[in-house]
Amino acid sequence: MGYLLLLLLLFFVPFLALAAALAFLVRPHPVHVPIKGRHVFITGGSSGIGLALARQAAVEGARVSILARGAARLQEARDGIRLATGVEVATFSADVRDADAVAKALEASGPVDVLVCNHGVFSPQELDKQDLEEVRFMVEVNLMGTFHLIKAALPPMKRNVKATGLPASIAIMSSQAGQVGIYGYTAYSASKFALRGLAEALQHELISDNIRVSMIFPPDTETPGYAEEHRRRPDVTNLIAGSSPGMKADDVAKTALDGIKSSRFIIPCNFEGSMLSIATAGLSPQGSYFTALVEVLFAGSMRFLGLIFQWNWFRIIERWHARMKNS
Amino acid sequence: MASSFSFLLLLFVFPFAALLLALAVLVRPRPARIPLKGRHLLVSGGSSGIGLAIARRAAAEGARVSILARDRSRLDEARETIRLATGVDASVIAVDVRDAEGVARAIEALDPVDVLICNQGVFVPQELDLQSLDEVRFMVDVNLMGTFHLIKAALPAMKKRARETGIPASIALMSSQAGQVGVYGYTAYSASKFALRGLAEALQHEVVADNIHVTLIFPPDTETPGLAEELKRRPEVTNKIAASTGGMKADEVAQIALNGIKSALFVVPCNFEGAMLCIATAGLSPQPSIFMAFREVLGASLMRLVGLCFQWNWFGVISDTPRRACRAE
Repeated sequence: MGYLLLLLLLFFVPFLALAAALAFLVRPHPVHVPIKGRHVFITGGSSGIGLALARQAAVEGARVSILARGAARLQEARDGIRLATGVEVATFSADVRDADAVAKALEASGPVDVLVCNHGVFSPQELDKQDLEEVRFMVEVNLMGTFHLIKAALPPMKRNVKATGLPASIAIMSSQAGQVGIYGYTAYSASKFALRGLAEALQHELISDNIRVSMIFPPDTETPGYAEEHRRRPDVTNLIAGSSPGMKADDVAKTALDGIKSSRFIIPCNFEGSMLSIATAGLSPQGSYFTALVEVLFAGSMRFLGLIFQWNWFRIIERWHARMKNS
Repeated sequence: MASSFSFLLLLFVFPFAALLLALAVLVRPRPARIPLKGRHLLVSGGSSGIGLAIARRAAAEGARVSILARDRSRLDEARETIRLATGVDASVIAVDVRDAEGVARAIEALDPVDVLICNQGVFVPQELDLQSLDEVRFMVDVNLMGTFHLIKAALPAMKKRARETGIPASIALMSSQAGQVGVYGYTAYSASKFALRGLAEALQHEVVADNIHVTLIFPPDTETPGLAEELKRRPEVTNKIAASTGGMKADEVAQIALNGIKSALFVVPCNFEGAMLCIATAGLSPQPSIFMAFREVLGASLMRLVGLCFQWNWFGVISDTPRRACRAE
């Protein structure tokens, strides 16, 4: 009986010690970022995940602005949201690659409380076949576009936070391709991985201004963007990534908004995403002590699982090349 | 007594042995060796710092060396340095990596490259709200797009040559510890360096069948002219945070980098903290080394905990350091 107690203690003590240590260590401390009555600005907001985000934020009582390139699709989006929710969203037409246009749009929209950099383009192709113009396109839109938005939104955002005392948020839509690079995704993964480096550094710089940075990592999502991409995908990419979208835009949007409101730094969207997030936690900040506990406990097994995935992917690549050679 | 002790020992050793065995089967890409002697090695940013040190060492090991950089006179100086140190005559290419066409023309004029080392890099640390977008763009263009330009230009001939000779080739990317964790002052630089990892992971999938191995090198602050430039601009907080890891000399980094390239490793840490950082940020990267995979799986949990401690420390430093006044808006 005594031995059992001793064993139990020996097992639980380190576990409790770890949990206690993490409760003390985790930074930044989580805060609640309210969106009701506050200004939510969503890029790539006229379709796909962005549109779903806009609609849900509108339903929750936020004042919503959406930015995209095409005026016609913006109109449609605005009408669609009005029909669905009765809420009027503001629309801004600009190409995120144009820093001046972005600055003008943000000036016209007024100070932003929750900036959602959701725009993105993706053209999967083997690098040796892909045009450098396309590579540049993805880097310009996905990465530089995000820099333009943040630069333009930051000064009034900081002022607003000071004036209201409420935390603000900069949310960045990444992708599972921003957690692992796979065949066909050199440019897209480069642009999405970059956003993480940006986000980690940015959170350091903005913590004292009460601004929280969030990154969302959706899987393939049913959107017009995905349909476009899917047509171009190399066979190997399909074999590795699967050929059907994993989630619906509305579900991604809901998870994203919940995560933004909880000021989570990393927001996975489904179960596989959670495992991927544990495996790729790296040195990212982690405000939730429970998630930190899961990360620490499962890091080793997730790395092992990741190695199994890579073993499988390299096998797929090998077999595909062998088939190509024979035919 | 002895038999139950040895039984216990076996029970303890068994899971480790089983893991090692499993990893021996699993690791991809399969381990390889990349010879340098008699092969063509091209290093960008090769006229100074780590690039020059790499070029010198590679020449000493019998490689045919080409160095690429912007400034013609610095390239000539570098060529002299290499000749004096090794007797080898390096080729020089003066081109800005941001110029895609210029890079393509220059590389096509050369012999096929067997070992491409994309080592060029610029780094201007500053808080994003104070930094000009031009500087951000500068870092992204040189560090990221420049690397795309180099790879695109060198790949076709590299593949052909690897096929003809049957000898593995290598594409090595010089990243940074700032490409493993983003810290205060490094939004643009870390963005450009993190990007290289996404590029590298995907690229390895695409070129493995061509017998080309991708390598990422992660040095800490290294004593180079580049660092001297960077330190002039560094915010105070960044200095405090960067002090968390020791600095190194360019020649040390060069030696470790070349060894890693020759062993066809996917990630190459350069010092002890770097090795811990590599374990913590292993993510879903491929890992051709059984030994490194073993350390990653066993060390991942502890490294995540250590990483969280570092972040706790850094956020403390940030809140303790008074912020200098923002310029008027």
